Amino acid sequence: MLVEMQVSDLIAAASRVEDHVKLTGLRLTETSSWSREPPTAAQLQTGMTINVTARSDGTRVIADVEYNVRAEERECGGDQAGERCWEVKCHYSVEYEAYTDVALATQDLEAFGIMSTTLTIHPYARAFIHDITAQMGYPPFNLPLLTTRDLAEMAKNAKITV
Amino acid sequence: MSWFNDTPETRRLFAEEELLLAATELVAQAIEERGITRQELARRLDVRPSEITQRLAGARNLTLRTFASMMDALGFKVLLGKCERDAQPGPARAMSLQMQEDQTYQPNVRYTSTGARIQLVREAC
Repeated sequence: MLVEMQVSDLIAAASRVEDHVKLTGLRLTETSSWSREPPTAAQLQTGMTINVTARSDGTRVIADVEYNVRAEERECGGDQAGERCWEVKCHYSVEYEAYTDVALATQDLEAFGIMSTTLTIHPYARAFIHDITAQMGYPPFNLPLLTTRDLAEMAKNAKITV
Repeated sequence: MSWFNDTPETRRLFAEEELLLAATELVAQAIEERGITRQELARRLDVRPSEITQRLAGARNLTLRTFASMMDALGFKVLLGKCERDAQPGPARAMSLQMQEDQTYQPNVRYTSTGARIQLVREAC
């Protein structure tokens, strides 16, 4: 279980997959965005959820990373408290070629998807969301920078959905 | 033979309309540069959107005060200039109007605390 692993074990698990694959493709497969007209003065609270899947068919590893970022007007009294201002989703699919015959453990694949693939995608998602929020008329939003350790900590607290 | 009946009265009327047109064109240009809608400008000025449309269409009297407030809401200052009216009979040249971006203008929207989490999605067996 990822949640029971130490940060160093998560990093090691991801490395075990990295040693046997090489990146062959990266695509932005789907995006959606929504916004309302910007308020004249407001503090916006933002939240980011990253959904990760990783699977292997023997010759390839395919990882999907979906960013879901939204901003809500911060509750400070008045009629507009908590109202959603904008939301952006972007879905990336990353393909790797497995160039060895080593069987990749599911847990290692999941750690690889969360840590390695997300780190690969993050700069692209960051640039995309920066541009989209600017075009919406809001100040451009910059996703926080992520390190391997940040992702490992998030992996330990990862919610698992089916 | 000019189509323009050049009298002091018509010349004055033409000068007024020419300046009004230059001002409304400048506002329209500023709106386009900012990439906002007329509805948003109306919200910033606390007026109805129809008010903005009527001002830009010339249906309402555009005073210097309303012109300045519109440009300020768009984050611009207005620079005025003048030039000699032509000595020859005919329409007078318009006073030059320029807009200058207000470097201190910032939309007052700030981001606070980004909560981040990861969800691992597993395929159903």
